[in-house]
Amino acid sequence: MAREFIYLVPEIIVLATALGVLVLDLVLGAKRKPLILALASVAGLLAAAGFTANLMGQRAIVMADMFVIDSFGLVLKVVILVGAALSVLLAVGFLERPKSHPGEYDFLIVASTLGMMVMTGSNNLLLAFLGIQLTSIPLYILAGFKRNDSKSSEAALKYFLLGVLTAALMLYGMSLLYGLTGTLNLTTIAARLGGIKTNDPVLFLGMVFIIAGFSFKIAAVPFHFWAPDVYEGSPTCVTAFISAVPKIAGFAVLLRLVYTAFPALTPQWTGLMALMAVLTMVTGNIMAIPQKDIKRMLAFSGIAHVGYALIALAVPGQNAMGALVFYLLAYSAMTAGAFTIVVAVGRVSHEHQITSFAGLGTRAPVLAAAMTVFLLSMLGFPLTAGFTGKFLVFSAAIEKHYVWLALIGVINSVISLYYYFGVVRQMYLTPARATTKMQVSGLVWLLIAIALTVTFALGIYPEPVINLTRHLVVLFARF
Amino acid sequence: MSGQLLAFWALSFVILSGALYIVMTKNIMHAVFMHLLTMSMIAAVYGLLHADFMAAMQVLIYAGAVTAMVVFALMLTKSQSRPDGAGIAVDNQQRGASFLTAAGFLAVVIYVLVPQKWAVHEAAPVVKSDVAAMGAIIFKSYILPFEVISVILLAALIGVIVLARKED
Repeated sequence: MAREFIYLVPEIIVLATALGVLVLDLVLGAKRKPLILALASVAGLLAAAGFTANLMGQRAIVMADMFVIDSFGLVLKVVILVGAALSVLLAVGFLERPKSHPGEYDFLIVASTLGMMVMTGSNNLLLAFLGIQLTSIPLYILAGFKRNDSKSSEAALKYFLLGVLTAALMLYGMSLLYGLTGTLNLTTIAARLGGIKTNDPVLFLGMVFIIAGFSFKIAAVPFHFWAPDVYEGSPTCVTAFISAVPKIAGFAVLLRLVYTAFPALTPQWTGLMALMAVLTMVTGNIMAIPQKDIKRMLAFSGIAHVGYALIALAVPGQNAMGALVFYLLAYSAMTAGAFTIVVAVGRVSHEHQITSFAGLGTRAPVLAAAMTVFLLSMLGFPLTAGFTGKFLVFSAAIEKHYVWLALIGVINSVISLYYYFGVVRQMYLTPARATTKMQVSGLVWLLIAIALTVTFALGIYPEPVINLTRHLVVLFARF
Repeated sequence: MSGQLLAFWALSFVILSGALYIVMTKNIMHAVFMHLLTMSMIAAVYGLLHADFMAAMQVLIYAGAVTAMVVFALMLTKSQSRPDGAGIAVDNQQRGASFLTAAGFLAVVIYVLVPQKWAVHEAAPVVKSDVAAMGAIIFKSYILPFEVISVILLAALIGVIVLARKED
């Protein structure tokens, strides 16, 4: 058993980082505290990412069959850790206000990240459930971090109540599955399902409930109702984190569940995923059109992107799995980039209406150009990450003869043109209300530069990453 | 019908009525005492299944500690309503829709679960609750979930401090 701890080194580093930040918060003086705490968290998270990358290629199942080490999980863990590190940096400006509790903020982000790592690696429904709770509880609190803001409190409460409801539903599904198979271990469930009729209604109900619980984390329709209000009410740097990073872990746990535990029920869950993909794409895109608030608009656009990614889950296979990992990578880069700019604009205009972007083309030309790139990428414009992602997902669907699903995806991308260009029109064609140049901090520039690099790299020269996702990304349990 | 089954139905009736009372009453003190009753009856269900240790834990943690915590919280916070609960709405205008949703959910669950033939095993005769064996399972097979729970509790603790702190 002691030798198994080597596989848990990344998780242990993240835990130590979380605790270290709390202690550091107590001993540090007030001067430059947010920045020092953020750098400490980033150092810990990046060290964990390094160790995770070092484990790449290993395949093991450790801690009494609870925790699985495979390259699928390891790749996603690296993305999660890097995303979390960038989110911590993004919040430095927000935490530099007086009485902002930077230590608690960074602790909660790191603790939530640990939960996502547990989710990504869990081979057991109990551990997956606990991972989701460890991810969610800090997020509920982060959503309500602006204590004196009623919208922030509303966001926290809505997120919490819907989260608890889906947690109960998920536990109910797990108990049904336990009643049928007598185990919570994903691989054992798959083995025991051999003796059970696959059209058993209880089995289907249990699976649907568990998928429903996981779908809440990725905000797939019909479990998306929390997303717009939480995105709008939370501090924007929290929104940036919620919109990108936990969704990666949510997809990881969802994919591991259906691929590992339910290979016998493939027709049932692919149908379910296809249905959810269509509902999620259509709802997200239609609802994004009338939004006046940029955070709500990006919330619905994020829902639409979850729909595109769900297409990759609806068509099982190695290519689709690779496409999903690629899409998640592209999605987090462009979403994080867009939200970083929303944070920068919000710090000057103190509001998040789409009209607050008016005249950005003259007030901050580089910022406006970067925003245009991220929006084009979300649209799926060639030479950007979004295009390659959508191309991979749609071609994986066509390859498995799901042409109609790919077609709905393409039609939805065309619909999204309308609301993405609404923002571009504001930036370049509407005159600015204030004419002063915008001041943007160096840290924000750094984050935008990273997001831009990833967005362009995955768009212009995606071959290395595609090869990585095609060949290296394998599950421990092969289907 | 065996005595065990009869006891189960009786306990279930008390548990469900108690739980319903908690969400329907306007007097929060009554809700606390009904919570005590409901949690104790759940402990009795564990006892019925020969899970003595679980029953004891249930009484200690839920019936004892949690109820006491709620009473403390009530004592330390300023109530903004009258003691009889007048002026507090326990439901809102969406009660019709939520009733329909809940009833539909119940109907689906009954439709699916009642005809199901569960694989029931004859329970091995339980001699005594083996706490040592339980400890071995927790710290061997379930060590990872156990540790994750401790981090969840820490995060919740810090979170509560963040939410409860005074702003300025």
